Amino acid sequence: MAFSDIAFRALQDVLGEENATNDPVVCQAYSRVQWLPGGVLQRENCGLDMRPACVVMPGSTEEVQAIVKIANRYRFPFIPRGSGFTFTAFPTQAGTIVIDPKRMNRIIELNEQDMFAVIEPYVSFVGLQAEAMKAGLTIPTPLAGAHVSCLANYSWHGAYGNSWLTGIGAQNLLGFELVLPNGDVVRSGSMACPEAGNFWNDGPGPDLRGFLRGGMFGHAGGMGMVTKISCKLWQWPGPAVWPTKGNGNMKTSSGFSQDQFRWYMIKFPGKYPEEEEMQLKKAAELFYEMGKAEIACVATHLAKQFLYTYSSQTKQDLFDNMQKNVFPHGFVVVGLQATTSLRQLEYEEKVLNELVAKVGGVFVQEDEPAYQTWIGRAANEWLRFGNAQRLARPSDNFSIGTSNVDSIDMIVFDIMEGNKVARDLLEGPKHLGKDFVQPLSVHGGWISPQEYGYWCLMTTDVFPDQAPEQAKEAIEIIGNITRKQIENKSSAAVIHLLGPAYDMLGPMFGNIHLIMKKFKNEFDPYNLSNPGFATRPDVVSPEELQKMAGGH
Amino acid sequence: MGAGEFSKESLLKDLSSMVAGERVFSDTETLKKYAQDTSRAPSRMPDVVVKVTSTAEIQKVVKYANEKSIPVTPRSSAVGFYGAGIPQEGGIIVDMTLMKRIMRVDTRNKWVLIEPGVTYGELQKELAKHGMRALNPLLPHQDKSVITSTLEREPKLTPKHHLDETILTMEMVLPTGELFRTGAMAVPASAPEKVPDEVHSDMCNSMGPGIDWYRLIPGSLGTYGIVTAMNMKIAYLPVKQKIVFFGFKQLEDAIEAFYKIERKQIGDECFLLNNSYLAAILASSPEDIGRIRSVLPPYVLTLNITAGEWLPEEKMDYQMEALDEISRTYLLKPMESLPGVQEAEKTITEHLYQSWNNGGSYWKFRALGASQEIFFLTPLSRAPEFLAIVKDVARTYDYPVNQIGVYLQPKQWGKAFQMEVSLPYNPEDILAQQTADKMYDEASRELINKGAFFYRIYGAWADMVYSRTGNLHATLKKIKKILDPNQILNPGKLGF
Amino acid sequence: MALEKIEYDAGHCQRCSTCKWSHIWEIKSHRFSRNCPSLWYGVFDAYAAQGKNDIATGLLKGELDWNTSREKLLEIIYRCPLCAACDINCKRIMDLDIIGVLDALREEACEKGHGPLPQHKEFIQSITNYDNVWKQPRTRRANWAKKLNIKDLSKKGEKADVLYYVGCTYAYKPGMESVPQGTARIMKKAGVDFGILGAKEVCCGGIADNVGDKKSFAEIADKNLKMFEEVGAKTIVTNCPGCFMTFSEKYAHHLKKDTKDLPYVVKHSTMYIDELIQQGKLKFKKNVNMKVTYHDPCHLGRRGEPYKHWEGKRVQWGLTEPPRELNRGVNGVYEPPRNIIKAIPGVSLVEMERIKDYAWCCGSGAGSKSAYPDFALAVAKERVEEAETTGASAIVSACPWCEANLSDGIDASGSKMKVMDILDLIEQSVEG
Repeated sequence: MAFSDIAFRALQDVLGEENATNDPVVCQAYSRVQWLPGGVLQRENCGLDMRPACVVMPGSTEEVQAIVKIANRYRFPFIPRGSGFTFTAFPTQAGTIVIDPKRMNRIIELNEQDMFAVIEPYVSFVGLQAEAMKAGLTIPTPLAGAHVSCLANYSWHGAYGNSWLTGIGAQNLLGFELVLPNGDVVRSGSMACPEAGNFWNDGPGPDLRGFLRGGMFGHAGGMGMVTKISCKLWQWPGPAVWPTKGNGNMKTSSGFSQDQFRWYMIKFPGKYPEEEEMQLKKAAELFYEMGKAEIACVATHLAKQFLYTYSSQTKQDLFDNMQKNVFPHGFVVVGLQATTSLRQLEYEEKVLNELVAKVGGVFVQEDEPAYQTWIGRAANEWLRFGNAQRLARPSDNFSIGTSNVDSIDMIVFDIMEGNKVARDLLEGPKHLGKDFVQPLSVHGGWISPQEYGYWCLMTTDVFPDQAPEQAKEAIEIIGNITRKQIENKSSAAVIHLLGPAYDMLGPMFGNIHLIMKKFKNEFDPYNLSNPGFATRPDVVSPEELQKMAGGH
Repeated sequence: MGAGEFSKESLLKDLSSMVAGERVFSDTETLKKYAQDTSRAPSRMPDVVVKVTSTAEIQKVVKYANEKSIPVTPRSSAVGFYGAGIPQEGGIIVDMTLMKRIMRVDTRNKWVLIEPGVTYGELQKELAKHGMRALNPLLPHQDKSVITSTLEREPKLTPKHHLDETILTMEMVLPTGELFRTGAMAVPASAPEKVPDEVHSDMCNSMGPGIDWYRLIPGSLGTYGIVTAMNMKIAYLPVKQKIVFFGFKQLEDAIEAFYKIERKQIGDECFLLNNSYLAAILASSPEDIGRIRSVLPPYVLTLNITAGEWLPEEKMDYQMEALDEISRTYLLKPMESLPGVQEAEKTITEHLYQSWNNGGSYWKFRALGASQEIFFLTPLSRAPEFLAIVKDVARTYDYPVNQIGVYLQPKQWGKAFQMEVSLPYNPEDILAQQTADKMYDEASRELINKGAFFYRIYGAWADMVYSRTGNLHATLKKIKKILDPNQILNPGKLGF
Repeated sequence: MALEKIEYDAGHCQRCSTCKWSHIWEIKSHRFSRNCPSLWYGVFDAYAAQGKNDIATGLLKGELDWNTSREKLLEIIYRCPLCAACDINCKRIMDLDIIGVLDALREEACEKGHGPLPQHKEFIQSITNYDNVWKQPRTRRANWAKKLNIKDLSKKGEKADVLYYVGCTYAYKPGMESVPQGTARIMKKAGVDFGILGAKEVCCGGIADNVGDKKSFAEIADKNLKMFEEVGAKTIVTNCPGCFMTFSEKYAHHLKKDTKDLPYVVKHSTMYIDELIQQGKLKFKKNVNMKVTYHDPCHLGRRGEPYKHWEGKRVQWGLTEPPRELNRGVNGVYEPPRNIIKAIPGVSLVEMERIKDYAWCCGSGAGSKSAYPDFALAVAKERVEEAETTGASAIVSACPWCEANLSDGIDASGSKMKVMDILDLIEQSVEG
């Protein structure tokens, strides 16, 4: 069976004609993902198979259930999504429908006292933050951009500007409501218990959050659609309304009182790029010390690509700034917040001064171009939104080069290893460098220590010119970096499990691919929930495995 | 021989071949110790106890159990409180209390890797040498395994949000007997403690592989797998600390101030006990509990103000200043000691990171020899409502409400609180036992009906909770069936 | 082909959804966080700039076909007021000419013979027949000016420093004559030497360009440019933001010049009056005790920036050769109207949440109201709801199209607010 007119009519009956469309023009808007070279090549390879057969717009959990049950009846695949930013939110085979949650956009509850909110899938981070701030609260600030779906980001994977304090999405998800691939609804946390409210996670009994999400990618939409979550909110000592005045563009038209927030940039003297490793290690030392002292709300190392892309007003501005070498290397950025009191903030500032001196760092002064450009223009975004989409500014496309989650030390190691591989390809005999924006593509990395340095996340990025040929080159770089990580027996391999990678790497990790397939078979017996990216239920043949390995 | 095809003799013989030394027990005296615990869960005898000393041994036992379809109940604590370690269908007890290795301490990345039999006393002693401490619950039993406590989700004394979920990575034996490692421990190495040496992993990522096992396994009562090693977050010992007490006449009086203290993130360890419960801790002997209770304020909030090595005086100062402001706002009187109780602050300070080691009964049982505890999560504002329910039930049985113990533990800066109410009774008095059972049952039902979030599911709570949670139990059962196709691991728990 | 011009821009959309929301800096509530009226109304992504980027790319690649999808294509392309919220938001991230994509889709529709829509064709035909969009006789164009004794610069020998260009809607729409009349009186009071084109005034042609009929637009533009030259217009003042934008941006584009290099300087009436106030030539006498909120017309604000002409190509990394300065909505006309309102004694200005470069469109622009009245009304009602949260008794604006549509929105929603043109507000105090 497949998606048919009968199935379409059934969907329209349930949702109303205006909320289900198979018009190719409308569906065209759900057929292409551009960022990440994998997305570009996916479109090349899949062509119009990537255009959904139908887009549906449910307005409630019951309607989502109805859609999923119809999918099971007529055996067509469906893709649950949030804002549809990431490549896993697109079909890879004809006859797939996309579930667009735009009509499910309510903030159902915002509890100031117990610091949580309950939201539907199309609530953006920024809308939630605006409401939370009125109550003296805030949210983690997503690098995917504050426009993306908070629910989807927490259920899948997200990285955040203030995660030194808040951790990532996984740490901020409380209870949830999930429509399973067979159309049943299950709830987790206190949300599952009548009268208990929505304030917490943890059970009852085993915590289903542990089943819903996992690693970086979890089931990648292969375990149904999350229709509601409760999520944590955080203390916010700042103003109830973000103080902007319009005509904002890239200037910091909002200023915070120094009694509430303070920013710092720290550099580590040395020759760059020759002494990059030393500088990154010193940054690591600073993070470890700050973690011990438990100070700050933002602590991160920003490599050139973040500094230039976030702070530039235009593409030309970016290239001009690179020409002027405004950011000669990466910087540590620290933000202090007066959660307890002004005295607490002042105390943390003194401690920071001591720690920076201890590790051999130097504060960037206010009159330096780097300070003026970064702190002046972009720092506050780390509290409002970490809009990493601007990484697309240099070449109108970008890719995450490598990523990992482990200790701060291990992340520094990974960055150096990854950049070495990238450098060999970009600057070596293959001369791929002409197709990648330099020097952004091989330097530094975003080091994002989490929860006062108990663990750490990182990414590096490459900036290819955007065409399928360059996308293939980017894939080659990423593939080589990944292969190196596996050769190095790096913990990064644990988080790269997605779709086909399960079958390739699963045997290394306790045959996790077989466990995941069993989950998939049990809960999605017809393999309908995002079959393109979720682990496939059947075991891959040796020949296919061979082909997949060659693909890297 | 296959499933069900075995005799006691063959069982003993087979198991003895799997473990070195004389560590297989089937005598009645030994078996009886595992048939019950301090809870009122019905006594159920196992058939054999195997005291293991390695993961490999556990794997062998579990694989064997699968072949024979014999239930296996894992135990890592020498003491049990909630019936989770009592076998429901006989079978094998896998006792891991001998697995006491503190395998590795990483002070830089702030974690410790331990085996299941390590207790808080043992662990804190070792970590103190490094100037560090494990994140512990309030005065755990001295025989309580750290891993058991963590997997049971006993709330930590510290309300710091990043120190609530302490599990980083784990090694497990799956119910089928396969070895599985989670998070960044999953990168293949010869042993968990060798991971940082043999591969590029510092075991600082708890996510994956596949799903987030570090969340699925806790609360599963050993039904989804047997944890054989865990690295968990630890923290530095403070350089300076000071205990501050606040007294309240009624629980309601504490609510706003407690919220504020947590919202401002003042201090570290923090908990509220009523006079009955606090007296049980502070009294030098059980006989003194009544007197101490009578001199204590009805409710006492204890807050540990701490500072590390950086400008400790200044850190203490700003916290005290913030606390003073809250005191003025809510007309509270912070106390550095408790009138009528000698050196209360010293007792608390000394016990803060320790297990109960005062000899005699465990502090929760000191009042009358035994108690039934009911615990659940709640927003702080509902705590008085839930306490009133328990008191109402107690009154219907003419149970003296001033005997009830009350404990409120903030989690993650007050985003949720675990509330624990204790119903002490004399275990020698059959009627008192039965009354306690009835109150426990009734109060639990009423609390669940009114929305107390029972998140740690023991015994009869399984049915009370899961009958109300829609498809949740069915989903958990499906996961159970996948991980444990032969249904051998701790059957009967959680309604499985 | 029109779409070939924007192939790069449409093809490099990152699908980040920035075009669908107000700029993140500025969002002050969940309720009023949306910025794209087309998407808000149409709901499916196709109606957003992102969707249109995909559609443009699809047309270029032959994945979509006019023959089979004509109706839906036209609906998506034209049910959009071209407010440029998507455009300036996108530019916070990247340097894509999104408004160029939307414009090119309309041009493509016209090139292929599918557009503009019948309602738009009526407007353009009316301009051809009557020199105005309202099918009104030419002779009545300056009726509003009767008894005001204003110079008619179309008459031989008449000269003035300032050409006051009224525009079709203010000239002909019943009820709106107070605006040009008030403007004329105010300029007289301030001693400005100005004149009008009287019955010879011709529609600016902006609507033709907006709906993609570039040929008709070019003809109208040439006609007007010749007229301006003939009358020696050095400064043109107009009340209509549509005309303002057309003269400033579209005519510059037509002449392949920057706005600053045009043979004239064009100012919206609020810019001019603000200058008069700064120069002390205009004083407010009477208190007007009102709480008002100001609605930024898109063509005055986001699209009111001076235009910088560019011809070149994209080179590596998407840089342009020569470098291109895209309009980013920052330098639109936001402050002059506000300065005026704040200068009026007794008036209290309270701002809505979505203002200036992130203002919510009224919904009527670029042919939306004529072709999709339900859409335009719904968008207006949304704006009225937002205005009501301020507690103001009136929405003040500076655009006839905004005012007409917002009035309809007020009527449809039963709101007690009223809509005022800023000139009417000024006159209440200036007249004294």
